[in-house]
Amino acid sequence: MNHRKSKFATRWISSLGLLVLLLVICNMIAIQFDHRIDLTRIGIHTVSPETGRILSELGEELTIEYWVSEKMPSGLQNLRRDTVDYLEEFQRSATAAGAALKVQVINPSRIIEEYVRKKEESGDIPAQDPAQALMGGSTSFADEIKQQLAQQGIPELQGRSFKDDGFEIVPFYSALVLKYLDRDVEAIPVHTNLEGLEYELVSRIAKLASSTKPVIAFFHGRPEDLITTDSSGSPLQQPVGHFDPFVNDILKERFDVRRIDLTKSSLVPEEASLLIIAEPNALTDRQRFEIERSIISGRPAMVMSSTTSGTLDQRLQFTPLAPALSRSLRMWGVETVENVLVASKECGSIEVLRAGPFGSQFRQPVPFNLCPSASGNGLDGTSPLTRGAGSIIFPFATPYAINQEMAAKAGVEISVLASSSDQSWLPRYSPGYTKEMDTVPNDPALLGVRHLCLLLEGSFPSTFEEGSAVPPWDPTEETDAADGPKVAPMESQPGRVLLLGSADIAKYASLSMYQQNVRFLVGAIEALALDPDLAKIRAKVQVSSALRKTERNERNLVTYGNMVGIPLILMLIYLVYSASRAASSASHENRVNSERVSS
Amino acid sequence: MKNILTVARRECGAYFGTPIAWIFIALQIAILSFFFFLYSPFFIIESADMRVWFGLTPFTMMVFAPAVTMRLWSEELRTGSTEVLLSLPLPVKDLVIGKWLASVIVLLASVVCSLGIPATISWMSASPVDWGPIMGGYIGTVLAGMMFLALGCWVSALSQNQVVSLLVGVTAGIVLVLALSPDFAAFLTSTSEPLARTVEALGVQSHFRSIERGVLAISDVVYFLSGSCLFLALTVFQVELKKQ
Repeated sequence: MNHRKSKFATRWISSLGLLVLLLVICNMIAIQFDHRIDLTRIGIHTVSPETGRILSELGEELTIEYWVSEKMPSGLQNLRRDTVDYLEEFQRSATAAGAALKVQVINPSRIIEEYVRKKEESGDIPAQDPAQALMGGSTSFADEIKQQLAQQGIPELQGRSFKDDGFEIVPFYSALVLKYLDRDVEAIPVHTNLEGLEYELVSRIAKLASSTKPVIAFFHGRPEDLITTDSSGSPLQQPVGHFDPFVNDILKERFDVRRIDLTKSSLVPEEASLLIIAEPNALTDRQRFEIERSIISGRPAMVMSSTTSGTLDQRLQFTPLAPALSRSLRMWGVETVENVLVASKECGSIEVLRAGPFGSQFRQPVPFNLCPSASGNGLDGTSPLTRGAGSIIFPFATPYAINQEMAAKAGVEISVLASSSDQSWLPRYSPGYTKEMDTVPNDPALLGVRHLCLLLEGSFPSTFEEGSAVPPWDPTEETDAADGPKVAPMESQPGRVLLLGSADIAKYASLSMYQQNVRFLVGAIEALALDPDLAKIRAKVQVSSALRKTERNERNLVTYGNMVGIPLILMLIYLVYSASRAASSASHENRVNSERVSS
Repeated sequence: MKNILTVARRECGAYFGTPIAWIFIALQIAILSFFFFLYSPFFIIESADMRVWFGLTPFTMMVFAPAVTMRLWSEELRTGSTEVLLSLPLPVKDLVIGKWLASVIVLLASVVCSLGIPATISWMSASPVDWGPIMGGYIGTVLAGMMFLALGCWVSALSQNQVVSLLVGVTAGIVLVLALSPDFAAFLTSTSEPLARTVEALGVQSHFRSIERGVLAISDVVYFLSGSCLFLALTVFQVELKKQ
């Protein structure tokens, strides 16, 4: 008996050993050749193949530091873990692409504590300057290190957490810092969700890996128009261009921006990856020829154009502009509607001075229908160019009409990226604000959705006939058509043109008022100018599902409905089920008994 | 297969014919709902997903799975019906798998009963709900549940006392969920990196973490299926040992 048992045990233990070994091997193989299925709608937890290609360009080890607090505000409870998991996935992708990437998770509290401890041990005394304290300067060792961290792109943030039926403010850190060789550190100072993280990381990595910034050619069609007074109306010491803050403070941080005049000595640089045409006005044929040649060569272009420019202050003066690219656009299937667009619904605001009590004045934002906005269904949220832009405001906009027949003939594909609301109309031009602009037309046929931002894609044909004379630089110059240079044949390369129906959209006055436009403009320029792979990564949009606003009664209903209601229903089902079983059993018993009696 | 289904049907009858399965499901829903709606920050996070729910799953499984399976073999052993059962012309593995399958059906019933939660979320959501992670979470729940139930079957076959089976099952669950957790692995990292990695690989939490956020990894699926196979094999061994 014992012999049989021991024989059985030996056989079974060896079989189990073999099974365990097999399972261990299976698990090791699964870990080695792991394949992940990201079930989220847009694959937010998966690193795109395009990222792998960009990461493969890294020659040396890149370090990503994630500075994150252990205690996070209510809405960011999962952020730390999600980000760490995502960075691990990112690291795996980098390793697979042959790049060296190190991920470090750092708790800033420990760094601060360590710094304070060392300072105290060394006997240093923190600066006790009340004036500095008043200005928000450092008054303790902890403040000192916090300021140092903030300068490195790791600021202390504040969030809210629910506490005892109220809120408490929770200071926290969540920043990503990228270090590569001895180059300037790249930081994502505020990281609060995974949406767009891949793009944020990869665009910075691409920037770190590249020793030079991408070149952008910037052409302003009305350079003589300058800002000469400040917001209070006092004259400025030095007049500044309307696009200077956009170019110098926003674009130059990411790009090597070359300002061009489209003259013989100032042409589009060969190395430019994007041509920006701002406020084109009364262009010469030669300038239009150069712009067309640039587009036909495959270089993307962004055109901020309208038939009206205006001031966003009390004066409300309008300046007519000559739609300089209309001829080219017409051939590509786009008509410029030569009126300013007015929208009674969905428009930006401007600040107006209102009279207050005791003769005082105060500024009050009021909706301004000459600044139509594109948002919600009027905005293509899936395009890499408009991704992340909640709304775009087009000051003094000129809409575009699409001529599909012409576009098809030219081989150009047109996508509408932004449109106004259906309560938009086109009053006649006037140098000032008129009643026609202020009153919604009675005729509903005058109201309708208008296109404010178009993306043109394809191989663009030229309006300048091959073999014809190249327009002279000086339009007044009389040239001999037979002897002058001829339009050389040029194979049209696939390209993209982004048309924005507002010449003022990137001007200082509008950017300071409509800061959401900055995000859109920078994103669109990056998507046009940078690596096409980056544009694909940027297009990954997570449509985040949030709870709608609920009342306490509604919350109680769902809480107790699920917590008590469902178990009670289950119990009820069981009672009915067992009662029916008992009844059927009783009836069966009765039938058997009656059969027995009758037999 | 026919044998397995016959055994499973008989066990299902035992589960659903008595209040066991009903109480188990009702209690599980009530407790999970309590933690999901009242104890966790679901209304504070304001995110229309079930991450908090699925995050609680390994912890509820480690208690409820042994509670469901404790009677499967312990009762047979206590009442002596094992003798009758093992004398039937059925392979032991069919008996084991059949009983386990019945407990899996109870688990599936509890999953179906919890569908009120995604329905609630869909009703309260301001925008369309991302159903992928929710489906992934349910797949993970079933996979993890299968492993815990297999563990419960084995533990039940070890003792004829149901309470002992329950306690041993819960303890084994605690080891898998809490002792072999990523936090413990992080603690071990400074001592021994390979040991920390092994601990993490053996634990349930590190494998459930990805599933919970909507990422289904082959390695996690293989882990849960391997665990189920191993515990079922151990149960077969244990029952065969009784037969000897």
